[in-house]
Amino acid sequence: MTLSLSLGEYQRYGRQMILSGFGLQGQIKLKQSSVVVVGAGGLGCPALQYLAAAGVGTLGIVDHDVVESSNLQRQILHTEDRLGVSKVASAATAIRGINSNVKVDAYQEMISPSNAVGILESYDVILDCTDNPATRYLLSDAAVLLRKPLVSGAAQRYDGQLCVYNLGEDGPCYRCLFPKAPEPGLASSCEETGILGAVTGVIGNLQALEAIKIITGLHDGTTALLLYSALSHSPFRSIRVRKKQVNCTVCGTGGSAALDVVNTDYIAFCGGPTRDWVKTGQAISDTRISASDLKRMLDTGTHNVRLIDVRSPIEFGICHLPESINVPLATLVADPASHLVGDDPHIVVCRLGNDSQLAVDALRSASDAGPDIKDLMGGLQSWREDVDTEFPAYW
Amino acid sequence: MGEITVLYFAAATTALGRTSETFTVPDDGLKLSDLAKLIVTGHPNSGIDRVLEHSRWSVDAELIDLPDSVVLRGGEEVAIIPPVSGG
Repeated sequence: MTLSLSLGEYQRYGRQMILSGFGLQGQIKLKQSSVVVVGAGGLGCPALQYLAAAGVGTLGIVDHDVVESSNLQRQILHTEDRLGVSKVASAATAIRGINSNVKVDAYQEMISPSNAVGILESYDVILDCTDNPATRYLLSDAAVLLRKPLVSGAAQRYDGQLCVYNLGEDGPCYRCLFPKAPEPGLASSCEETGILGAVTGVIGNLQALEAIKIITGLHDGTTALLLYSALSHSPFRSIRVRKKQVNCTVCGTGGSAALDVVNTDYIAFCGGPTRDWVKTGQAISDTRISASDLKRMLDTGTHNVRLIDVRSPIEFGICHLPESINVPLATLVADPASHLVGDDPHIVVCRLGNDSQLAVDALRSASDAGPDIKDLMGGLQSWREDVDTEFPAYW
Repeated sequence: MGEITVLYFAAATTALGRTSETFTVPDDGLKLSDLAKLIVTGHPNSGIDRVLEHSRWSVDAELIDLPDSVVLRGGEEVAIIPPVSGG
């Protein structure tokens, strides 16, 4: 008797092989298939975990980053003892522990217009588990060029999105849905976008599931955009999406023929590079005070200081300087005059020292000959580095 | 007069601090593009205008390609879908 799988594999995958519509053929298809996961973070980890467990033959992993402790809250393949290790190596180790039958190709590099097609072309399905708009457009264009399905997941705060792009002959691409790139820096410069690990887990698991459906032939071929809102009373909504747009600049009639991924500047398309907010927060000017000078000023007690923290109430609630009051940036900018109180020096603080500069501008423009107004250069991060190493770094 | 429910997602939720809102539809209907103006004027200084520029609309779970061509009559569920890029 010639067996299509090893004896161990029959036992291992039996519980999914007995599913109607799956069968031995489904398992053989998975074993012969290859999936490339771009991004081994909050979405990529759960996706890789389920793809490996299900028995996908070859998994490619693309990521340039190393594991940090702030990743562990959601990036569930990485562990405390692999802090500082590259994410692709850490994920490969985890996958070997789950299923040693899986062949892992590790690409410790940033996906870019110059390497994308070369990396992606040998795989059957592409998973977009990345975290920035420029890479989303790059992967979508590459998927159109290579005629491969792109399982795209995204998550922020308590929300997620899932869509399979470029599916079959007439499935839309990412540009069909979002032809205009979002404005960079819609969020304020000192604000980090939060994310709950279980939310990336939901979307990453669904990405693995969509890939398995495509490979085994269980996918019905229609495209829907799934919206997930963890806090809603009905958290899943599926939006029907039309077929590819004839006038799409990439997948429409004549679009892909002119597509030149290597020479497209995706970062410029998405509004230019992300600014270095740590650096801009440390800009020197005479309206600013260093962390050590602020410490001296508070310690000597020659002045009473009005210390205004312009972070969100949530972040202020995590930790703040004991003498400070909380006035969120938007509240302060809406009515700066009402936050000028008395003649004591006013010092504004925030996380990195960008929002505080905006606050100083607003306060100064509302003040004729009032108090001295300055802000903390480098924000609470510099305070932590230069003055108080016990100040909690939640960022 | 009927009512419509607008669902906000991702950056729209963040800008407005809420996940849904109801609007009254006049007897002769409300163009989807006019609903955008109502939302913007109802939430001054929220930044929702910039979010809407990059968002897609759906009506009763169907993505809308041309918002000018859709007239709401009441009873519909409208969703505002900004792109999400985090992971």
